[in-house]
Amino acid sequence: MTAATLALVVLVVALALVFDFTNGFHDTANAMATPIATGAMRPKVAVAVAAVLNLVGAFLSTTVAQTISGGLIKEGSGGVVIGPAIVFAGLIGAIVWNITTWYFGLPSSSSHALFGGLVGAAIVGAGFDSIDYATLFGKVIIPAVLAPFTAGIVAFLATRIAYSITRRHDGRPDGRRVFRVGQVFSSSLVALAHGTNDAQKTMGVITLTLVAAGLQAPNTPPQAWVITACAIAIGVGTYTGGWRIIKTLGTGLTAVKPAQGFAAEVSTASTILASSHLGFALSTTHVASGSVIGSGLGRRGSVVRWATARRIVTGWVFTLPSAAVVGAVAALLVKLGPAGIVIDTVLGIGFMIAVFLRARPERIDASSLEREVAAAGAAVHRPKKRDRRGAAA
Amino acid sequence: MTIDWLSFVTVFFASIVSACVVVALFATGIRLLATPPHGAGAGGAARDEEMDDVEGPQRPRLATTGAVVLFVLAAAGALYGIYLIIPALHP
Repeated sequence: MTAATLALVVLVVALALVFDFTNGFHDTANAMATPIATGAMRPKVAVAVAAVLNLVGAFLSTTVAQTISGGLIKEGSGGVVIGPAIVFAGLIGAIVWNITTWYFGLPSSSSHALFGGLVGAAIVGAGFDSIDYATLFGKVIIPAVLAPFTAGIVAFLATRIAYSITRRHDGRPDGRRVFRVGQVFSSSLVALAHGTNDAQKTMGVITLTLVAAGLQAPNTPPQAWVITACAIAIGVGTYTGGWRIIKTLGTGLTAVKPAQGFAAEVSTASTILASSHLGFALSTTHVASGSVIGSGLGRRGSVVRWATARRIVTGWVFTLPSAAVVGAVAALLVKLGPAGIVIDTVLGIGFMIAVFLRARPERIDASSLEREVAAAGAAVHRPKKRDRRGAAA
Repeated sequence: MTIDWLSFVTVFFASIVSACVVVALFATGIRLLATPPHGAGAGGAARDEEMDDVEGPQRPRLATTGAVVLFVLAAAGALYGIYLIIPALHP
């Protein structure tokens, strides 16, 4: 193997870990937006819990995917060889799109971004014939349409049930605050499920790249350092917290109350677990967003902001094609040889820095979000019994 | 085109049933915790329906026991979820 190939493999591994990191901070919101919005967990605590569970989840499930693209690209015998160069360009496309949607505070699927980047790079590298369009349609596009509706209906029903069971007609306290305790567990379950699913994807990308480069025997499990690195990358990403996306999902779509948040999280967990175990893969992001909207429709007197929902869905529609375009451009540059790869890397890093700098003035973080939740909570705050007695005395 | 509609329908109903059962168990537990003490009259002024604490130990013991049982059942649902998440547990 030449030094150039080795350098490319190192670069791909580094980029894959960066992608894993963006995957983590993009998806913190799926589990933790609703418990943060209801005050069930303080923002810092919530992201810490999610980070630990993602880290642990990454170690729990390390089944290696057979193909990098999940069959989207005709890999293997008679098909395309997805070499490090295509994976490199695909990862650039995925990362650029993840950073862009983060800037706009849009929850979007990291798997779609990864697939999109790879598809774009493969089209440039091996032509339009290299894509399996039936799989693209049946395994990516149709599920993306079905996921939010499925989760929405589940969450709508679950929210209705939660409120009708706890509704009191005699004006006594209904104790719905206790749902916040349940939220801690339901959102943790979502975070754990996410860790087992998503870290595995990056492990697959790295492992298959190592196999392609002849550094690892085919059909062997991911190496220990790959598992550890992916687990840490997704954990740190999750802890960093995509606060902009948490804000959109937690407060932008609808005002989330404890009973509603619990119902939404249980619906997200149920739908994700059912989908990954009964063979119809659905994206965590699409499911979580659908649950929040469904629970908003299910609670009496709550308002769903459809303008925000439209923005999110627009982001979903553009995720695959946009990542594909960026991946394709990156793949074109790769064709220039080593110089192209250097240009790609510099442009990619430059883009990330530019977006972070642009985002700084309107920074959204744990403390700004906490103030917002506190302000919303102050309107309905009742002092504890002990405090009230103290005030009366 | 390869859309497995049967497995989608399975996922759809499995999600509905599991989510609704867990939420119903937990909600019924909360409802039992909010059982008023024996002989208490109707509550007073209109209250905020979301943030009320249920205070005082005066609720019937049976209600407390029932609530605990239901919370444990809901937790069993969550544990089953963890079982499904970890592949090593179901070869």
